Amino acid sequence: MSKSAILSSSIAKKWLMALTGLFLCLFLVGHLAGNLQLFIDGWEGTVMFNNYAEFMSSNPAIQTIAWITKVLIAVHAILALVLVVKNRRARGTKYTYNRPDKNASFSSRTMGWMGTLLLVFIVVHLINFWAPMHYDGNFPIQMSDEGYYTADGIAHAGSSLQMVNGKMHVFSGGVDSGRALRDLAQVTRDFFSPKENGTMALAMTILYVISMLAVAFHLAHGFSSAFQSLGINHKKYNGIIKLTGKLFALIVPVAFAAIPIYLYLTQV
Amino acid sequence: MSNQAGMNLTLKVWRQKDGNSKGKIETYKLADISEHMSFLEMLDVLNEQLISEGKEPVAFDHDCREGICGSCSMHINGEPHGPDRGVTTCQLHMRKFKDGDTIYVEPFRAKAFPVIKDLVVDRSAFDRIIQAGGFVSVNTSGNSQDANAIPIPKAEADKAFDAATCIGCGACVASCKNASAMLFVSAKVSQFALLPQGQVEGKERVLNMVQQMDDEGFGNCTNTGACEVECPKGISLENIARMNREFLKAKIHKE
Repeated sequence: MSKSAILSSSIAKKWLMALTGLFLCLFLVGHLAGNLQLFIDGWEGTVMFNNYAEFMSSNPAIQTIAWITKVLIAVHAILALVLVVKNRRARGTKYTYNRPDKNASFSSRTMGWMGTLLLVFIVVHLINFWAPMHYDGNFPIQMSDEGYYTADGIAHAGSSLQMVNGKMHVFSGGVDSGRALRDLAQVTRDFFSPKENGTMALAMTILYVISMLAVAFHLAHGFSSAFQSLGINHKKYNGIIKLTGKLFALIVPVAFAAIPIYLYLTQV
Repeated sequence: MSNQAGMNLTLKVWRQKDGNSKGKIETYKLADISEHMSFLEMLDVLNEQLISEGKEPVAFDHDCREGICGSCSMHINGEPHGPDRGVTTCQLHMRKFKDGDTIYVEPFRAKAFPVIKDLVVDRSAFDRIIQAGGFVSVNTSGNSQDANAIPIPKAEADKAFDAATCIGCGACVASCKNASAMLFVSAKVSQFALLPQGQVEGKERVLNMVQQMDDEGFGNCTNTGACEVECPKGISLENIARMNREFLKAKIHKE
């Protein structure tokens, strides 16, 4: 067998799906931990979340991990598509009467569909927050009575905003004090606020909650399945892996979904 | 239901003249079927009926009729080997059905298992996978060692035996939504991987068998576990995990 054939093998594909999947599980934990700060209301929450967002979007290590995450999502999705096409072909003629519900769980049979839903959600989610934050020059800037804030979290009295090389900068007394601190906290709150975003807030809340349902089903099979793919199947540990997978598939999506629900209900 | 009055059944059977013809589901009515019959005996009754009507009998695979040869196949009411667990079609009894039932009978479906006729499929892909590595080479020049001379832990020997109980019927492929043959191949890899005698050709074996499995056009395993549920011999998913490990080890070591 040639060395180039490593990825053409069905088992190598399994390993890659499992490894990328588990990496994305880790990503979910990190993403959730940061987002939970949105439960902190008022100015305190705003400052905390915006500084966190600034750190996440400027720290080179985080930025590297962010791009790795995007690449791995693409690898996971493209490989899944290849597998779905190959697997459909492997069946050939379909059964006239089939009862897949008799021998396999709903979540295991719908990995492709849930994954597709998640991919669509990820694109929508990036369009909603990531794209404007990075590419919209008029993205709102954190400000208080003390003036506008620069990326280092310092307020500048009597300051004004000015675009420098496509990035918003804070100017005080005609001097460039540095890049402005973007107000992602307020943008996120407004996004799910019926007062600010009208019926779109409700539509988006529902979309985000449904998408987290897809995460739940995807993880309910995916988490423990990844261990099996990596060859980790041992009587002593199977129970804890299965249990961890089910808890992970419950806690992570519920916590994620709670954020838009909370933001919507507290701003009705 | 009393033992005297048999069941009336409607059979929806896949009929296909040969591999090149287009097949279709045909409907047959059967009366007075005893609940003590095996599924194959019920099909025998159907064939007697078809012959007496001057029609072509339904072709289906069968041999030992005691659940050990792996010949009988058939996808019955949406499941390989039917609704019962841990049995092949020949050991499936009509008491698992009720009077008035409609029963769908189809061949195992996989691109790698082409239909030969009606319910008979060509499972020689499995034979080619075995030929690719499912063996141990033993010197039989007269000085071969007694296999029992090598001590093997009981637990390992039991696991190897459990894997070796695979009869290669193909129910795993038939039940898998991806038509993957990994449960079969992993059982055949495991029965040797667990024993000292299997170590010599271990790396070559797993690589060659997986390669042959892929070349035959079987699908990719997504760990749904349908194979394990439908397997008449209760082959465990543990074997697939073992094959995944063996494959990685072999890939890393092999020059």
